[in-house]
This record gives sequence, structure tokens and C-alpha cells, in this order.
Amino acid sequence: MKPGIKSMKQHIAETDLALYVSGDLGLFRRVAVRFHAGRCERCSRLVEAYRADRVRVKNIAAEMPEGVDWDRLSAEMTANIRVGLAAGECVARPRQRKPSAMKLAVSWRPAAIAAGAVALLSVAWLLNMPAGTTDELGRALSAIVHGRGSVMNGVNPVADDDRRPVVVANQLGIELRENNNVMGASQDERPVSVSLSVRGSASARYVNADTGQVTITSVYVQ
Amino acid sequence: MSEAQGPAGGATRYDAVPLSSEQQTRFVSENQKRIFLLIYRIVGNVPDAQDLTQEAFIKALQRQDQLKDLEKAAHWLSRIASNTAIDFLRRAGRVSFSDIEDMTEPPRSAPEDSPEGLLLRAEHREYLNDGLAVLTERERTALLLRDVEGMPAEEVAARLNCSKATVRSHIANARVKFRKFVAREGRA
Repeated sequence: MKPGIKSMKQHIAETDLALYVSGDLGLFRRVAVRFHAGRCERCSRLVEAYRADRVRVKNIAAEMPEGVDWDRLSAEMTANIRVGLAAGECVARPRQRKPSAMKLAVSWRPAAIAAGAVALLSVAWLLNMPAGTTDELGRALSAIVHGRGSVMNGVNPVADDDRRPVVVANQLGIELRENNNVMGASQDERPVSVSLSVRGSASARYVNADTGQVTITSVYVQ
Repeated sequence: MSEAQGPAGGATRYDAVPLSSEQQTRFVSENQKRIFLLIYRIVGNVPDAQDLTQEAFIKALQRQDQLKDLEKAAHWLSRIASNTAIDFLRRAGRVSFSDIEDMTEPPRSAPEDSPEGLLLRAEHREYLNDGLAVLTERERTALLLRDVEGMPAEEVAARLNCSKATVRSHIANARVKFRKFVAREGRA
């Protein structure tokens, strides 16, 4: 037999009776207690007392403490809860930026994929370009870089051994260079904008400050 | 907003979250007394119970999107409230719900056992003029969750972060002490 349930003469431990009333004993112990309590007047009375105590505890727990003005306390708590919720919202708002930043990061993925696709197509397009056009494009780009440098440094960007025609677009305007000869197409004033085509042409747009007249100069290399 | 009256005119059942401002007010007013009394019985004094009740409602309303079953809103709120109160006791160092087996010293059977405990409790408590006063905080908490909130011992154990055997021990000791108190007072 389990401790506490030795015989009818030896009563069940009170802790077991206390747990029995709420069904918190194991199966075998529960059966043993029921069997004993059914035949023992003292333990049976204790079981009833423990059942009554459970009701008492519930009643005590439902009693308002002495001296508490519940209406006032309730109103105060309700107001404080409102303030707490409002304060929580204020604190939460700046924190909500994090999810939006995550969304932004996620939205960049398709953009990055699209950029990669564009780069791939551009490379494919360049590879399929006629060799002459590719060379012209390379020279044009080189001319842009060196042309800006020449303005600053005063160095002739055209290499001596380069005898092929090159269109140069810089801050001064457009020039056609071939066999170390330079033909400028610049105006008196500096161009408002200079555009360069991958096909070997260049355009410069000038605006006369006095008259407002617009002049567009285009040079094509064939 | 969609809501329905509970059975027999009981607490309002809410069909959707988040609750509107009006529903939140109703939710608070319907549950405030019950939650306050639950926390009060656990912590043992009105000022702490007031603060913790407010904290529990704010937590619940801020996390209402976590409520899966709206019909169990009251139970869910009770869980938040009891956790808030238990955490408070832990933070205050007033009680440890560690397993009995892990204790190097046997738990004190009553707060009156030591002068320090008596002084500490005298500072904090102001009610405890009933049978629950003779219980330790861990015993009282376990008993309240089991008998008043109707939680199974397993759930009480989970709430108190200890084993089911420990919880059963707390509950049994609490009931035996309460019984002796009632018998001594001549109430039954």
C-alpha cells in the first residue's frame, strides 16, 4: 500500500484528501482514497470539509479588500490604461519603420534582378555590334574622358599614331579630329548640353544669352 | 466592429480584433474587477495590484492580435494577469517558484517563521485577514490558479515554471493550512 493508506484504522494523509477533492491524485491513489473515505467517517467528513474550503477560497477571492473605493479605483485604472495604450502607440510608431525598411530591401531584389538582366542584354548587344562601330564607341567614350582631362591639363588627347577620325565632345563643344587635324564646331559660348551617340555622332546645344537663340551642332563620323 | 452578447447576458464575445476604442473600454470594464482581485490575492496589496492590473490590460490590448480564439478572451486575459503578477513577485525577489527538489533548504511553511519575513510581509500586505493569509505566496498563487481560475495542475505548473509534483505539493499544503485556519476560527 502507498504511504498514508495503511489500513482503515490509519487514516489517509490530509494532503491526499486535499488533493482528492480536486481530482489531483493519481488513478490508483484516487481509488484507494475513495474506498477508504467511503468507510471512514472521519476521512469522509474531511473530504467534505475540503470541498467546502474550495468554495470558501473562491468566495474570499471574490471579496473586495476592505477600505477600497472600487468606483474610484476602477475609474483611475481605466484612465491609466488609456494613457498607457496611447503612450505605447507613440513608442510603437517609430519602431514600425523597421518593417517598412525590410519591405524596401525586399523590393530592391526585383530591381537588382532587372538591372542584371539589362546589363546582360547590353553586353550581348555590344558583342553583336559591328567591329567598326564598337571601336568608334570606345573612342568616343575615351574622348569624353580625355577631352575633359585636356581642358583641365592642356594636354592634347589625340595620340599621334591615331589617324582615324574621332569625334570629341567636351565642355568647349564638339571637335572632329583626324590625322592630328582638329576641326572645331564650337560656338562663342559654352554648350548648354552635349550628347554623344554610340554610332559615332555628337551634338552640342548652345543658347545665346542675349537673344535666346538655340543652336544645335551635330557631327557624324562615317 | 462585430460583437455579440455572451450567454445569459455575460461578458461580451468579440468576433474580430483589433477591438475598437469603445470595445476596448467595454473589455476593460467587464474584466477589471476580476483581474484586479486575482492579482490582488497573488501580490497581497492594493497599490501593487492596481499597477499590475493596469499593466496586464495594457499588455493584453497591445497584443490583441495574438489572441487566436476570441471566445477565450477572458481566459487569455487571466493568463496574462497571473503571469504579470508572478513576474512581479519574482522581480521583487519575494518568491521563487523553483522545484522543491532543487531547494537546498526546505521551504518555509509560513511567513511568520522568520522575523524578516514577517516584517517584509507587514510592509507589503494590508489585507490578509482571511485564511489566505496563512499561506506562503507560492502556495497562495498555486491555490488561486487551481481553485479560483480553475486551471489544471499542469497549466499551473507551466505558469509557475515548476514541476507538476511541486505544484501539487503547494496546493495540498495550502489546503491543509487553510483547513486548519478555518477549523481554528471555528467556522467549520
